[in-house]
Amino acid sequence: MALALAATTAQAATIALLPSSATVAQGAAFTVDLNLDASDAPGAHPGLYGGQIVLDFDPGQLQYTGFTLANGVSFFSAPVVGSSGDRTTITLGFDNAADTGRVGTFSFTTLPSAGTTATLNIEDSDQFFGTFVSYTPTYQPFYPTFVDTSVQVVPLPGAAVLFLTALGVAATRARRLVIARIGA
Amino acid sequence: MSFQRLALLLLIGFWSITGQAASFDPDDQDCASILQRWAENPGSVPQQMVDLCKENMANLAPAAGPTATPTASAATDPCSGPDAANSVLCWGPWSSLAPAAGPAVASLDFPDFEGDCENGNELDGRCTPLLADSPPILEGCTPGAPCGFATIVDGVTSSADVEDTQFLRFDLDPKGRSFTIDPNGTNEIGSVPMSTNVQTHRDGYENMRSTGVLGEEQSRIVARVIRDEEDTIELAADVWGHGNRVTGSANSGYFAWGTATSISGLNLLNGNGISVSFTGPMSVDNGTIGSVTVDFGSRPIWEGNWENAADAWSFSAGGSVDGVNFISQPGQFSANVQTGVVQGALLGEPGRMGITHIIDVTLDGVGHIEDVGLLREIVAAPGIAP
Repeated sequence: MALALAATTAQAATIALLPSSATVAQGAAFTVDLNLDASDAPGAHPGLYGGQIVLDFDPGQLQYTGFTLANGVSFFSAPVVGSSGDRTTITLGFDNAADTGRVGTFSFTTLPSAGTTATLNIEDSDQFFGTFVSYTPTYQPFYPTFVDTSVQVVPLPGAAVLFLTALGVAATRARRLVIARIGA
Repeated sequence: MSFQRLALLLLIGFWSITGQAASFDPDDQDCASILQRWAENPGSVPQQMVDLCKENMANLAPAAGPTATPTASAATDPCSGPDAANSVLCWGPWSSLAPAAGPAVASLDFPDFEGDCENGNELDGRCTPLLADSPPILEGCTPGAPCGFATIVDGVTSSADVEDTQFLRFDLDPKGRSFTIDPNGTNEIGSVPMSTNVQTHRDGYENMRSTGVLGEEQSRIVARVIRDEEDTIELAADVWGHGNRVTGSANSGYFAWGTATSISGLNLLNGNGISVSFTGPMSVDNGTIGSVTVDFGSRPIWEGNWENAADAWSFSAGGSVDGVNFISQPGQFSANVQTGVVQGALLGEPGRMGITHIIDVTLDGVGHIEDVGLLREIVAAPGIAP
């Protein structure tokens, strides 16, 4: 099935995931931009572009918290959370993206049980015909390369834990000291 | 002047003076010379003598002289049919005269007529090939009925080399839920039922994505559409595809579709002699802009121009309009068109019209071009009240 589409991906257009940070602490929030480069897509430039993607991730590592469109971009299909095997999927279709730049931004939170690497994969929602279309001046299909990403999920460092613990103890003692002096 | 020619002139002169046609019985060689002279100067030989010689020559045995190749003659000689001897346009067994004039004559090769057939030329029939419409590539459309043209290629990408691209008729469900390629034809492809997603777009169009999967089959449309207040599609254009997800076999292409202008709409336009102009980009190569003007009236005609600035080419065409259908006439192409056909149909009603059309031309220095396009009526902006 995928062969029909794979054989036609000679163009250099890309749709890529770009995380806000390559390393994310356990329990921390982070974002992943969805970026389109359609400068080599057919049609007029600057143009307008649309497509429908499926992003998937391990629900044991990450929690999806939302997707925000970039200015000027619109949904033709709002994000829908689903599943495929043991992966959580987010499917969304967008219109009116510019030649290059951000389509929108996914928001995630790492879970305490996260492993060392959390992968985020992306693909066309229609692996047979493809869904990406250049809209100007007429509609023409194109077939971008999909670029996945991953983030390193790290536990809070031991030194930082000790420092914060010491800071808390010191603050408590200082508070008691102040209260004692006021009472005297 | 040869002795033979001098003798012929004397014979003709004698015959003219005496007027004894009935007793005149020229032999084959005389007739050959007489007919040759008649061919050179029709007024120099009495018609009765010509007729007599034509009759004699028509009765000649095939062995009387070298003859033209039958197949070549049949292909090019309008006088090779069974009624040739009775036609005022035919000179009889002309090929048998070849020995008297030189090399064998392959056919009666009338020069192309360049004039206006309908203004007094007595050989009206002869100009037909020059001013006739091109043979249509696809079946024409019916007023008030769905009407669309499409390209078809192998695979899912809608595009292929021009020599691997074909044209077929295209029909679309007015709600966008199904389509048919080559309806009722030998290459008919029917889509599976599709669900539609329509979004606002720009330039008055909406953006429609229709997709459907049924078993192994999958179909899709991604189109610019114009819909009425009841969400019925009036005009649509661009991407179609249908294939088998398991085998990977698929066809796809581009299309331009609408509902052909009604009889009442045509009557309104023709009755008022209105000119309507259309323009828009083609679908296969949307760097090509098509512009067509239709002059309605008692004998509606059209002319159009297609220009691709990026590839530095253009050509023009024109012809007559028959109901909602129009097609190019070979004599009205610009000089850079080696061969070509432009075929189209009028869509929609006055004020909301469009054109679906295909172009199949070979241009000097450019090569073969095939495309399909939806052109929209150019509606003048409303005037500003004083």
